[in-house]
Amino acid sequence: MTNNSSAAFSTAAGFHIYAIVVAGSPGDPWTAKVTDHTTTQNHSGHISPSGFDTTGDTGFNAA
Amino acid sequence: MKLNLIATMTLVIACWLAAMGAEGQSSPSSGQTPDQGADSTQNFVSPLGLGTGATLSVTSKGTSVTAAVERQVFSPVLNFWQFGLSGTTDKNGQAQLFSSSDKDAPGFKGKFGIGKSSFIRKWSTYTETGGKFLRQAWCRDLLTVVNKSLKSPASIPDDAMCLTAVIAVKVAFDKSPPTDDKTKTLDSLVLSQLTSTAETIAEPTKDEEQKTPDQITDEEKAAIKAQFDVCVALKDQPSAFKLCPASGGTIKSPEDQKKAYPSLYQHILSGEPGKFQWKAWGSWAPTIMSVDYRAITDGIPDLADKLQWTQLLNTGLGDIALYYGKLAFGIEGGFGQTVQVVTQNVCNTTTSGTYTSQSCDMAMIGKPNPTNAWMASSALQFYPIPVLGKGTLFNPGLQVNSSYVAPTTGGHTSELALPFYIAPTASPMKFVVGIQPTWDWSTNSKIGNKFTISLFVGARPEITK
Repeated sequence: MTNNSSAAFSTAAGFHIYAIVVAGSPGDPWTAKVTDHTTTQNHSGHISPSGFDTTGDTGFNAA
Repeated sequence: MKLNLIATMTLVIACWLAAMGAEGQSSPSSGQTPDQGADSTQNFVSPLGLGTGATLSVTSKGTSVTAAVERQVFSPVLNFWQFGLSGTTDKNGQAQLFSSSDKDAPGFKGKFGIGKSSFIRKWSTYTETGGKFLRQAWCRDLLTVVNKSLKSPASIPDDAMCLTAVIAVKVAFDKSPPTDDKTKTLDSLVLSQLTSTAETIAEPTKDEEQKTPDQITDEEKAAIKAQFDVCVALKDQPSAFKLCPASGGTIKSPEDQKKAYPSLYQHILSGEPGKFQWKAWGSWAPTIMSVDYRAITDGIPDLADKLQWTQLLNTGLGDIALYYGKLAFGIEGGFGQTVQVVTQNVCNTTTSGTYTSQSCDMAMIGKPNPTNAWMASSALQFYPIPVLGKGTLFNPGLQVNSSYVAPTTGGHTSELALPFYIAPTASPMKFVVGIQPTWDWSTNSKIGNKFTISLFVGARPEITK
């Protein structure tokens, strides 16, 4: 199954850490894009047998 | 500065952002609602929640449009809210017998609820160990690029952490470096960068005792920053930089990297959310009812005077929903006002000679009398029903919904509904079309028992744990 989701964070320029936790049916693919319109970080994965996946804590340098 | 997150996934449950400040304080922000267990028809009496979306439903009583939104907030006590509105028209004025508590009763309904979901929280251990595993996998991927260029590549054990692997590859590089200068320069740069950061990336856990669930440790910050710094140093080396998060290339998740590094995954990753999840919330459900009626004075109905009865009926509700894999079960209990409406044709007959004409309205004889009532409902959902297998364009789903309303004045009404629906396996917003047989029982002899079939169609959110 696929849904589109989006969220916007107002934040100061500098280095930040974010994480996304995804839930769904085992084996389903997912993608996520984190951007400040200068830098873009693309994530993709597949849902685990337990029904989850994550980007893990990831760094992002916001311009 | 606005940081956007756009996701195409089964469901975004939670996302958060933490400033890389000295104190390590986090500034959580809300993401997409979990829409947990929304049902197929956005039934206002369903304990599975309204879910974000809109549904058009056509029944024998009328046509209803329901729209709702559900959003998450980060708070230790209450972490989501939902708000829905539903408007149902009395189709051609034909609805003759109904209770205001019926989901498709003519009128306007609202539902505002706040509650707590076990799922909306920072899964700190999961995301921290997920990030740690991915940095180890990133280091190993970089070393694979170097190793492939060597005449005699190093043999790296499956469970080798970055530090062990970089030493092994460096030994192999020193013994038999690539002959091509450009490749040698790249390999040397990668190895020197990783040699200086491998220990930091390994994130020694000496301060684990000091860690609180929502804090990012100094070691984790240092590891993430170390990866960032290595990537900055590799920015002019496309074959290495493409593995960095900021390259714009696709970064594999822990579940995808698990295939390449199963031992590391097993060793590092922990804290994955469990299959069983729950949510509980309370709601205020106002209903605006408007009914044409004719007053009864001293037992005699005054059919000539058209009157309209409009009233706000209030109900308080409590819900608990449980989720396990494909199953979702919810129960709801509440206390509030309900009114039974029985309308009939009231006609004004005009006679002129041998001719007559009639002008009729649907109206209730006697003023509607709202009463307090106890209400309960339950819903059990199976979705997707695995009858069509994987890779199909559509998936079917089924719900078993029941409700029970017991006015304090006595008697009861009960309802059993079995909505069956299909939805495309992949679509930006799931499109649901279905059919729902409904059985109703009432001790009110004017209402009695009935059976109806409704058709519904709508854009509905994913149903998840």
